[in-house]
Amino acid sequence: MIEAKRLKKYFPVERGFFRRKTGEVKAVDGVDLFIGKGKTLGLVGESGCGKTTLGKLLLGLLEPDSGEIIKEKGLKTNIVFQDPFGSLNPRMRVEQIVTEGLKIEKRIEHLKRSAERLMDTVELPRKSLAKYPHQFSGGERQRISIARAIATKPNFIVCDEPVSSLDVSIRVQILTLLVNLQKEFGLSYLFIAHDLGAVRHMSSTVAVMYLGKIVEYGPKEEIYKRPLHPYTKSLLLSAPTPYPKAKKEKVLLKGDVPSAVNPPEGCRFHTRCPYAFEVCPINEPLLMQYSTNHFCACHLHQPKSNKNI
Amino acid sequence: MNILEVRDLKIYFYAEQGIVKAVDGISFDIKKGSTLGLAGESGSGKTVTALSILNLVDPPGKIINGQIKYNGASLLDLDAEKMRMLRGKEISIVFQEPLTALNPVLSIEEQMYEMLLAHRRLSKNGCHKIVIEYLKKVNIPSPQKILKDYPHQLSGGTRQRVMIAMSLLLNPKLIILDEPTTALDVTIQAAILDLLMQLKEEMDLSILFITHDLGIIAEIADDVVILEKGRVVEKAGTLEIFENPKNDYTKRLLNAARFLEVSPL
Amino acid sequence: MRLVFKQKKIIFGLGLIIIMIALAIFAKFICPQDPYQINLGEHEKLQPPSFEHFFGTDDLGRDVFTRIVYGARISISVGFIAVLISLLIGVLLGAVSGYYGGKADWLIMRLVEIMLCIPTIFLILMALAFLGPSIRNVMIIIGLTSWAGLARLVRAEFLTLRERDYVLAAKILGASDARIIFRHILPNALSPVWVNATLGVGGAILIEAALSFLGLGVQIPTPSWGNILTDGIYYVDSAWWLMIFPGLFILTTVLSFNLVGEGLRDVLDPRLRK
Repeated sequence: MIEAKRLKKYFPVERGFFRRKTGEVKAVDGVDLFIGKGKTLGLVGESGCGKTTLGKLLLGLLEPDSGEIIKEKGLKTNIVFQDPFGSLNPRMRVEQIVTEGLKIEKRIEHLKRSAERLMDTVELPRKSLAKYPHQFSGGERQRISIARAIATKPNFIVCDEPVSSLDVSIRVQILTLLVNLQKEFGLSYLFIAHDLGAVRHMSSTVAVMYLGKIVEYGPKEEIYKRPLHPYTKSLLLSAPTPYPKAKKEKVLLKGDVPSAVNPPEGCRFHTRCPYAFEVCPINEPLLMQYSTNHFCACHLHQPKSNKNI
Repeated sequence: MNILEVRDLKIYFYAEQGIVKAVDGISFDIKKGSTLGLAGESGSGKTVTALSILNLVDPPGKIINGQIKYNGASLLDLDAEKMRMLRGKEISIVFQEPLTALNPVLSIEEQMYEMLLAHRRLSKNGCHKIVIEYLKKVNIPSPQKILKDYPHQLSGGTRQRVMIAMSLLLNPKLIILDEPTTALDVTIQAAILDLLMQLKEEMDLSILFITHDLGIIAEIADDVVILEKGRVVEKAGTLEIFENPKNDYTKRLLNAARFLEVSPL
Repeated sequence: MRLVFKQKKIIFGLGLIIIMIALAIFAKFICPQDPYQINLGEHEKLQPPSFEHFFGTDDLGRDVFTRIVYGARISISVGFIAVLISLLIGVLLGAVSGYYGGKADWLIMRLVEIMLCIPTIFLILMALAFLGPSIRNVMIIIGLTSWAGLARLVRAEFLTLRERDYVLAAKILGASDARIIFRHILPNALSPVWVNATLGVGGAILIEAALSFLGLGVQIPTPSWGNILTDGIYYVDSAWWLMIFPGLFILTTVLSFNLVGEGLRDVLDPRLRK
């Protein structure tokens, strides 16, 4: 469906009166990925790792500095945002919001009917169409956002942390809705998240990102059962679980995420990695293949081959 | 022995559209030296409850009924000056967003000195020593380096560590943590939770931990209170709640949390 | 909207403004006298206020109340039209500057800085000296010289609003720039603009009064609050009513607009609302 090769996007850091360039934020630094038809790629990483930038690149909202995006013919994209409060125009009624895409495409027959059907699809009452965004709860707004995204019948949707700011009980409902829509319309998703919780229910394939690079990539079962990268392990083990008796061995990381302006030399993760050894600060590990479709960039492991994603 | 007892607390907000019963008759106790987890989703009244303990509820909110007793003495009857002396010294609070809780135009050093000097008579040197000691306590690797920094220059994790150090500066007995790790990344959260549990033992603290995350509750709380729309729907020991939940809402929350759980398959 | 009418400032200010506008529109019915009617009789000119002449008469025996009521037409329309012109220019340039950024932004912002550097009154005096004084010129020139602050305000709003997720969403749907600007950004950027414009009407009325007072605005014998004041200046020690009443009208009107502006700000600024 959509494929990225060696994608790079740097943002200049400008200082002072003359706007001199003093550095670069390496938001996305050589990323390969592939999303098949009707499939979901879960993209996981903490704040500032470049996951949202990557999503915007795939949507064409940003131009990559280098690398290429190969899109299947007829690819039509859209997005669902994280913040249910900033993503809907407060001055527009729900009907105007969800039909805007159709109006822009000049598909203006049966607008009212289309809007009502969209409400049915996202399981909101039809009378919602006459209301304004502020009259809805976070979960309901997210449904409106989803209705807007699917109105023009896209086949690829970037879900940028769509449940992160919702209450836990609402999260499950929205995830279920997204899964159902995927089945019904054969959608492909890039599902962005900051932890591995929701991703498990959404994606067949998971990519873990750290400071602009993908550090591990593989089928869901592999990532959750046999994580290779210490960062993936830490993401898996540091999240608290709702079982009081479960005593997990934790992989506690040192310090904070370094700035993406001047990422550490060698392996970008070495400053926080509990297993770092001599090579790590010197050589940058490449993303290598370990088993079918399981890739990792870490000096701790011996790869089977160095094939690309 | 309870360090804090809350009885039939009611906090109403008088809004234009009518009265919002944010907290509607809740009661709970915190045992000395224990951690109480106060769990609920948005709108459950958990944050207002935290604020009410230090009498920080602002209009249009008003505490209209109830008792809050700290070591047997009523907190709601204290005058403003006595309450001010109590804050930080006996009970302190850490908020979710350290960036808004810290003063943006004062350096870390200035804020921490100010906090100390409001309660104790110390020389500059004395202040400096204590501040460094506490920044070390919260595992900030080189505290000297951040003293002159302003809040926005620090990372989210370090800011929250500074907030925790500040809240401990006067050796309080009870510390209220209002979603202290919600704004942080999971790996940072793990380290902060670890630190908090360590400090609790070290400084003999009692903790009121407010969160929406049942995972955190399972990991750190001794007892749990589940809030829904300003009412207590269930309270029990942590094991009891997680293994044998009685209330439907608790069950629903627990199911959702377990569904979204992050752990190896 | 309900909040707007809860504000005492707004109700009070708006009430006064409506009275003024009613005076201006129904001038003919309120004052049966002719504002240009000269009456040089010894008992007609420079008469103090009486039942016959509420605000007295001037040195040519004209009824001051009538002239003030007719003057309201001039003063208020100058205020509104001048602000309308500055709104058009300010919003347009601010929108272009904030939305597109880059070179256009640089150019427009330098222009704004230049406009803000030169004291407006000098600019107006200079322009009037070239174009000659008339009501039309006064309106246009006040409008042309007072858009800079507005442009900067609109630009700032656009800069923050263009980053909003709903703007991005519209872009993804393929919305044109015009659609994004007029449907998604502008409606959300207008709150501070209304405040500014309301305060601007008061300001424009003051400038008009000042210009007419200096003889550069509305020309005699057409009555405007400014030149009624001017007429009175020669009799300041003998006929106080010639200056007090037009002065009071200017004061009340400007105050009313400022009250409405401040009230709007209180209502529209979410920081003050909480």
